[in-house]
Amino acid sequence: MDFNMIRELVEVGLDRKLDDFNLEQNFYTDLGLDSMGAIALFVELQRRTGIQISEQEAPDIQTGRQLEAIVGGKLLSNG
Amino acid sequence: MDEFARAIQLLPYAPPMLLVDSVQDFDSNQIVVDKVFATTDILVTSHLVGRQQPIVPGVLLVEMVGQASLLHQILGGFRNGEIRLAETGMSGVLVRCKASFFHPAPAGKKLSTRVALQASALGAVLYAGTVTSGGARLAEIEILAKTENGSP
Repeated sequence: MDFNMIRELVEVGLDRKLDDFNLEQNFYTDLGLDSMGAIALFVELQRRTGIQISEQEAPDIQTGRQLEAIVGGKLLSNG
Repeated sequence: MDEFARAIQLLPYAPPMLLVDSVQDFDSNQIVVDKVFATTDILVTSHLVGRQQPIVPGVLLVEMVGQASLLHQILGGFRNGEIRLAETGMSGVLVRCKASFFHPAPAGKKLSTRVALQASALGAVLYAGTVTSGGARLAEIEILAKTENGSP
């Protein structure tokens, strides 16, 4: 998953464009994502990639870097 | 009673807010439902009062897509053998919606709503809906809703 896709997913969650985005920003404290927006983000991830994030995993994904890591791991385990 | 009629009864709505008359088609990816708003329906007569040709409020088209989506979830429960779960009551909480309206929706004529499942995650579902009447596309509505089991 590349940087642009991560940014687009976060933009879907926030429902706004981001002028300034990096993989270290916290979705919640730095960018203002709320719980409903997080649902939108993870649904959009599933729509684009087929990857499901569980209720247990979701709270630990708070930055683009963390999202990239967990999606990368799932892609690897899916072969 | 067929499963479609039974599923409609399980929607947590009553007239005048029950916005599904019948199910025309259903599979695991989509559902098509119909609704006719009577020209005397309070939801129509109280909207744009005095207009000669009464039209259905656009916000009700959004609600129609929402109810069709919930119905799709209930019928999906039937097909998956989760009948007991569906019968305990299922409701949906709207998370987000995006709507584009192209033509006014006429009262007194059949409105058809087709919703197609796009994705799901964390107990939420994303549906894309199209509302038509007499072959004319009236609205495109995308909704994201969180489904819940149990009484709303």
